[in-house]
Amino acid sequence: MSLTCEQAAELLTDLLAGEIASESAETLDAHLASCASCRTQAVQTLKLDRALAELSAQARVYETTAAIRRALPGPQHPSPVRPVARFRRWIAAAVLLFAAGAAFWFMQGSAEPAPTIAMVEKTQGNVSILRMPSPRHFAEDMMPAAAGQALQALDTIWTVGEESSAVIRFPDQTEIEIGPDSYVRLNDDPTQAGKWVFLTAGNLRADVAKQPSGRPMILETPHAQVVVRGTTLSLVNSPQATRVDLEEGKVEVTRISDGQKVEVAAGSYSIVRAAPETIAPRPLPPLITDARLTLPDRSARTLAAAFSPDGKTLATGGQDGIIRLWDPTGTADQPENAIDAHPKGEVHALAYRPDGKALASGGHDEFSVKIWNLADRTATTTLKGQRTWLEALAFAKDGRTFIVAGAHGMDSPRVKVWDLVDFRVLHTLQAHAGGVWGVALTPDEQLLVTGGRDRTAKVFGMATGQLLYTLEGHTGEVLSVAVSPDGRTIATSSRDKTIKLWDIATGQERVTLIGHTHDVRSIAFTPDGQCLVSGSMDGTARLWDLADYRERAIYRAGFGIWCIALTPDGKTLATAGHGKTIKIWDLP
Amino acid sequence: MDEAKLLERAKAGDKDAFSQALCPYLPMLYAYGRSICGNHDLAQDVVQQTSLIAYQKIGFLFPEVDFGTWLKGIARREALSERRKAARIRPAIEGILEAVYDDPTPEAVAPEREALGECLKRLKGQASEIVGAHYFQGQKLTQIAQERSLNFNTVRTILHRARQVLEECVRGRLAAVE
Repeated sequence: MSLTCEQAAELLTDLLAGEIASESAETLDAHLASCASCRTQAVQTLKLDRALAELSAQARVYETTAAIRRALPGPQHPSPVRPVARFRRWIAAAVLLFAAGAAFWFMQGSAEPAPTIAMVEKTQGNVSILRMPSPRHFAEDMMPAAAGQALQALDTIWTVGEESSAVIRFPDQTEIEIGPDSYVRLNDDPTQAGKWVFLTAGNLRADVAKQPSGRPMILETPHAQVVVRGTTLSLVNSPQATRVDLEEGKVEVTRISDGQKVEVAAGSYSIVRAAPETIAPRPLPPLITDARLTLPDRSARTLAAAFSPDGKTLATGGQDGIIRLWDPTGTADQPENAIDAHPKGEVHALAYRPDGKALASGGHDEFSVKIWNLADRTATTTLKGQRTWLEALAFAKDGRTFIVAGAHGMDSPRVKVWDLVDFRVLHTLQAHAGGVWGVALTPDEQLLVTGGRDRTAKVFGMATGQLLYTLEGHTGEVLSVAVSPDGRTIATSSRDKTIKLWDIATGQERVTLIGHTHDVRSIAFTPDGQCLVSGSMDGTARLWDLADYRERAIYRAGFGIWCIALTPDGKTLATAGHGKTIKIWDLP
Repeated sequence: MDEAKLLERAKAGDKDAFSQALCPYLPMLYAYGRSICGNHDLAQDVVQQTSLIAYQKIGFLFPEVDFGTWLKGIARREALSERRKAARIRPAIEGILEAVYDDPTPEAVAPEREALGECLKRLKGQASEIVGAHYFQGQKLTQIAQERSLNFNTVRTILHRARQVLEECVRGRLAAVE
């Protein structure tokens, strides 16, 4: 029995509802195996079904978590950071705060079991509050956070995922903007009469109202304590270091491990790493907001960018599946120069062949890579068979060896190395647990570096395809990798908001660059090897000087940056992402 | 506290740390289990079983393995076991299922979930009731039909149309946000 697509869609409804007869399931499966458009539609339908089911489960997650916790075998462990004595002192401090701050406008009256010290102003994405139900409990309850929710002392606000954030406000209008993947706790130290916020992980931006004399606000991380009397600052914490950027006012920063203190004034920043490294403040790098050229992109999101080998053309690809070719020295109203490359999906990867005559594009449609002859805009080669949504492509210098990788899909842990002349796979590298976001060859093309969703980067020998070693240290997915022009350094950037530099010879981490406040999606070395450029979803691209690991400049694009590209001469930078624009910047 | 630290503590026996690490994945595990079993109650059993097994076997979660992917693997075995007498999952359908759930992270369908929250408010009448009963109360279509004195095919058609409306609405909202 053959089906129409509408009938197939109805049977899919039955399947998802668990009400499909065996024979009908067989018929549906046969139809889906033969109808690509129905498969695509089925994916969309299942995605919606997944979202609906997850939404319904999210509403029950609190009780589900509690039920699971009760069912887990073995004794429950008390939290090591909350001894009983601190809770009794917390109760006393809470009572004092209540008496001292009785003019709070959002007090709910005597029915509130614990004083409210702040309020959730707004949330985005997946945000939870962890709260101790009573001083006798050692385990926190978790509840979804919502705007207008009152916060108590010892509450923890947890933003989960790159799209999540929250804003909390204190009665004196002090505002804290909590970034993605961050964990923030309020008032844990009962000896503090002022506000106290502990940033365990992630980043926040604080706009602190002038604090009463003798009762400054304290912002603390595992590395540093920042005393704030009234200012605007940004705080980023990674496992290796804490960075404090001062926009206004001044703060006192103390390194917790050795008590060293510095005062940081407006226009400066301090990075607190382990002793004995200096925590002396440095001037904030110049902030550049005016790009030389702003090109309007019709695609809602630009997800790939590459300059041609002669630097005269910028290719971009994005959500609409179209490759656009731009003149980076032209004007904003240049006519559209486009290739309708992947009509059924997004373009996530682009790579020019070294001779500049062809451009490879990888998409999220039918798992295909296409290689375009730029003279006549035809696809001369289509590579299929790698069941992954493609994210990274790279040509070797011979223009014949070609590397393909992707981050999602059944084949995503595998990186394929193709010979495009013989049209065969030379190596299939299977070493990541999860998909691959980025690939890079060393200048001598002896080694291939890959960055993956398993939070590692890996180094393979190109001749044998064997894994040589793994670079571990990031606490989030590795989104981009690059190799320095002298072949001595690997750079990796991550969802954990940091960039790491590694020594290729030893695999040892050399330094962690901290400053971005969101995923760092794209990095590239300048051709002279003296700098590294990074692009982040925090809306900035940064030019890092590798002599002292400081930023020479910050380029504020005003939208989340998904991809960057550098011309071969290193003088021009392109940034693109979620802003429907591509910006062209001149580098110093 | 980030996931790696929570899992470290979980491996040392800290149930609270385990619960915190597990919590963001619970909606996905439920949805995945439900998509394999086609049944709300079985899906909840899958979540419970997966959580217990994951806690007991947490020592086998090696650093290079993604926690979400590992959980999903356990959930798959449990869900297939719950299907029991039901026929095996067919290959094309399974391929589509695995593609949709390939990313087990909580944020995989976060934009869709957010858009859905608003789109669901626009559903009215029977469509809204049936979607609510089926997804949020876990009722099977036959039960919904009986309780509302409706023909099974009618309920099926209403659910199918409601899903189409939601799909269009979500697509429109996501495009508008971008």
